[in-house]
Amino acid sequence: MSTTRIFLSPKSADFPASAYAQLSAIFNRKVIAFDASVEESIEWTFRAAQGLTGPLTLECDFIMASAVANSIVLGATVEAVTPGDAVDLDSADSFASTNNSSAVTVPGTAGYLARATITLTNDDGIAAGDLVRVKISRKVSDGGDTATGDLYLLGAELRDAA
Amino acid sequence: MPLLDDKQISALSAAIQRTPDCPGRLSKQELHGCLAGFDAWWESEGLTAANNAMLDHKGAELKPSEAAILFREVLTAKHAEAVTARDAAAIAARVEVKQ
Repeated sequence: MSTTRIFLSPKSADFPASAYAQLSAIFNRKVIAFDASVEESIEWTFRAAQGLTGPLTLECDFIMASAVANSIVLGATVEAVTPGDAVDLDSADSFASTNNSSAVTVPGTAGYLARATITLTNDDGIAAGDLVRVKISRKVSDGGDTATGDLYLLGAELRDAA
Repeated sequence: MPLLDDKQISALSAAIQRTPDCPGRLSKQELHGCLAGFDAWWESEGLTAANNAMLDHKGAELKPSEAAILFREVLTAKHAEAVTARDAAAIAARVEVKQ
């Protein structure tokens, strides 16, 4: 069985009502810019692909605006809703607990690509066919997030273990 | 003047990190410490040193805000390559007018 992959691009992101990371363009590449001081997030909505099985990982590709040392921490939160679930979608959400990456050392040159991998231990019981939201945030208050300046997310890939 | 409090230093640090001038080798904690250290130095020694440096060129003791403005302008002009292009252009225009 082949690995199931879902790519999350900056332009397909949804923006929360507040404290959202910003869609921007760096050298004509669309990025999501995360602040270093205020925790911001961004979301993607999709239907879980057939064949998707846990455990899931999320690989986040990023560059730094100015930091050339220290580390960052990204977090991911999953909401998976199956038709018939007791979740009132027009007034509530059901995100599971946040999963954090380890502290990822940023490249020594700003603009060089780096990757943070998040194991989605808390996946809200995601199953093929579920309506899913994945929220990514920069964990600016985490002790491992020490790098200064914006983080530019270029995209993320959700993949399963198959 | 009183030292900037921790909240003000944090706000200043956050603002600097949103510019291309943010020193990328520092950690967030180090940047915060540098700003607090600079503030403490300015209050304890910097202002007096600035006034002494200008002793032969001024008629009276400068107010802290006046000395700070002159200090900022000199440093910015000396290190224009490190500031944003927009600021550098503005500085260059000002220098040109003065000349």
